[in-house]
Amino acid sequence: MKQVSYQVLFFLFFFFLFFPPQILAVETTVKDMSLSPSAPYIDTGIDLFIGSYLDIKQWGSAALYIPGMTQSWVGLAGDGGCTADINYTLPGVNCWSLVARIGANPPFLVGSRIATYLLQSGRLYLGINHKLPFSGTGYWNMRIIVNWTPPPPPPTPFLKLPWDYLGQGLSFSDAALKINSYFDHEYPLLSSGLLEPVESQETVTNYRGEFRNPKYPYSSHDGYDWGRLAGAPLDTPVLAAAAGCAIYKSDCTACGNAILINHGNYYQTRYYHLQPTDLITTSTIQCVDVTQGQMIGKVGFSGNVVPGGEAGAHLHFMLVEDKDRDGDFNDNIPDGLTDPFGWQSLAVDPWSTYSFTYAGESKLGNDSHYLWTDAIPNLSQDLPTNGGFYTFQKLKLNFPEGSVAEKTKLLITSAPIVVISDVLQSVGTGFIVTVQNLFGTFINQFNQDFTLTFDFTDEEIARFKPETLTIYSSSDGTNWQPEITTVDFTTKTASAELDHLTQFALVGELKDTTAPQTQILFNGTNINPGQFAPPVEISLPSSDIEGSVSYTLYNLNDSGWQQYLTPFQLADPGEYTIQYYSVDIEENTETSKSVSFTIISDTTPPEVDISFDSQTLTPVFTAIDENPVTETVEALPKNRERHTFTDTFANQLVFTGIYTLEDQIAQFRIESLQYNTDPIIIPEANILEVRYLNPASSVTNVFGQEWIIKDELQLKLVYTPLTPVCNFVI
Amino acid sequence: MPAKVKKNTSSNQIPWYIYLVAATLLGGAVYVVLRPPTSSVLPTASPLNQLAPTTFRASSVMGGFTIEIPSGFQAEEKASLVSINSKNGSIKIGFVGTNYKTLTDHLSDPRNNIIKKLQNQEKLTINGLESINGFLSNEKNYFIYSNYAVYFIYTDSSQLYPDLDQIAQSFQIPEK
Repeated sequence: MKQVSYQVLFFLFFFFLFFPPQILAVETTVKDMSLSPSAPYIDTGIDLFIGSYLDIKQWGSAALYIPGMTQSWVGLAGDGGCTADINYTLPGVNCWSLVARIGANPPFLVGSRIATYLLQSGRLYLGINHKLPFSGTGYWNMRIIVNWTPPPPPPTPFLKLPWDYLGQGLSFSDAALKINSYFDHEYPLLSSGLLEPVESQETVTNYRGEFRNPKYPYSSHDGYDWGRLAGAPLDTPVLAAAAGCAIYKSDCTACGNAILINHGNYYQTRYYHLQPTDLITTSTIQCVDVTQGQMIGKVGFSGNVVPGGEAGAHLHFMLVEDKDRDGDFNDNIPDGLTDPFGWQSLAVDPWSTYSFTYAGESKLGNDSHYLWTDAIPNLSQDLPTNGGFYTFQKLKLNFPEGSVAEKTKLLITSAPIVVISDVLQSVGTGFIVTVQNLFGTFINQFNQDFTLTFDFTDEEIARFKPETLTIYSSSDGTNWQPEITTVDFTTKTASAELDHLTQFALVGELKDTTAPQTQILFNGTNINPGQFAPPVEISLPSSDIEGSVSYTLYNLNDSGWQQYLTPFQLADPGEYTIQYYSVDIEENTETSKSVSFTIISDTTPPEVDISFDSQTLTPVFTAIDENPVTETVEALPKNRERHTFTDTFANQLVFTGIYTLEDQIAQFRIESLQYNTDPIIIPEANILEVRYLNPASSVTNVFGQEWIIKDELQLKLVYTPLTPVCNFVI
Repeated sequence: MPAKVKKNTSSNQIPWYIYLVAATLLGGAVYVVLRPPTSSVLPTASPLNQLAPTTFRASSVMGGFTIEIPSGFQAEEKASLVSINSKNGSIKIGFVGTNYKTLTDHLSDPRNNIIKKLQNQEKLTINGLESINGFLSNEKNYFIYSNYAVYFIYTDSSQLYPDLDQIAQSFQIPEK
């Protein structure tokens, strides 16, 4: 496909070289047609050929009323508040805009107007960019002209703002857009004395397409007023906007002292209300040559200014085209009046299509083109042959005149952070810049270098080695090439002169390429290696040698990775495996580690074996449990004792009792006992008694043991010397 | 494991009104914890937009003014016109230079005569700046004057009027 396009361009180059476009206009087809929602796509019956010149524009009224549209009616430009999705004839452009197709080729946008040479052959189809089902009312009237002699190409921008705004620390945009009064695109008839219709009086339609706005001064204005706010107060030197021949104008009382400069390109600039002193000339007969930027007068308040007197001092600047090329600009007022800001709207410029009668002649308003040599950021998405200046977030693009050979659309979008290697990474996001012609063909190579500038004011370039900052480009988002880059650390910008698109990023070498390290710490009772009693608190502290840790992730028993923020507890018994790793702010990623361990469960309180030491006749308490048990004894009043047995898992047995020894008769009475948090149990009166049967005898002792409840003997055991100890288990 | 002594599981019956009192106290405690802050600590935000607004700073072309943008809106500046868009519509901020020293004088310029067209006018001072609001047909407008510049903040979408009020009230020009 690309190969075919080059062949076609090659053919067209030689075709137009030997047969200039004007020669093509041997036969002109003019056809007026209508489109309506009932027939939203029609066959025009016009067959087109490569090299034809096609012009489609509104002709007569054109208004559709579509349910759901965001405005009260739509013209050929469609609904600016609705972008067509994939269900529309042509996605990505305004819903219900005028689209066209040549033969079986993909559709393209016509919008309010298209006027271009053709690179395709086939039947011309026109349509409303719609989706099904489609309903509405109204219609569009259009004129189609084929092989019509095209108008001359837009004039080359040649104007500078006519005062020294730079000397006042202002940028071009700062000065040019601080406008006191706009050019009224609906009826710029001020100099003609013609009246505009009542409905548009006291309103202005400015170059941005804001229609009949009553807040902008002032209706019918046919130029631009700049004053104090724009850095042009009283007595500010007025400079020639371009080189030419200047003459004084004295026949207009309202204009005051006026200088007119013929620039020799069929354009004349006019400067009104000047001070009577320091005028470049006062001759109304003989013009004097001036260079661009030469002083021609001073801002004043002569003629009709509002408010009157010094307070009303301002510069009225206007531009006139000698449309009939007769050397006389006066006979092209008002029809030759032009807005040097052009017309920056998808709607039809009302001034370019306004027909009227003046001085007995039929007149048509004028096309306006952007004629300042300095660009205003993002004035529109158009990238015309005149070039343009665009900003998008931290990216600036400046295309000089001649960058493209046809009118194109420029689109800038953000791209993800670019990672070229372990050490090369983009400073913030990258950008994707695309340029398409009217037929949707992408243009990636340019006739003139354009300037691409990254502003890294808000970026954390401390992460990067500053000497390595370089603009990289890529045509596919995968393969990246460094470009010759100029980095200015004062303005915090990086610039490159380029002749190609599409993806760009400011790339630097990271200072830190070492991955962080993460530990796992257990806070709990370690029973055995890898075994813990609940609860266990897990913490994952991490550190980074050169930078700082961005985040730590862990995955507990394959339940999914989650970010570690604070220590967490595990209490449920079972086997656990934790994987974990950290990533630093440079995206250096630690190799994942894994640790397995077990939390053991035990909810059973200890048991206690009570026996008596046969030598001392004191009770002995021996814990019985799967895990180690600790015992504490607390003395209570009246010979009572509280015994607490606690195992590793905090299970407890607590009992209180009284021990007595009298006449070789040892007794232990259990008063209460409690298992863990269960209710305290008060057992019935009981005595565990041990006595010597013949304590005074010199023969082998014989003793017995009794278990008495409520004074009733429950159990009695008599021991022989061979079994000196009796065990009794609670 | 030996048999344990039988546990005492019996308990006294709790009267129903004790549950009622406990539930009331619990509900009160939950309210105290979860209640929204009182109006005295709320920011001066539109009731439509309780979320924190973001600050938008215009370019030097428009004098570098700042406004607070309610959540749900996105602001964009292009060639000295700011569009603040939401799914419900758009609020715009334009500006012009003027040779008049007061807003009233500017709006009284006979070539536009806005002062005579502006319905339900209300004179205000917004962050120290002379201001007038009112309606041009169904379009609500705020005009704000600052050092030979007149800003106008406006929308014709009635449901955005509260947001318009909020944005206009936040309008400030940075000190040079």
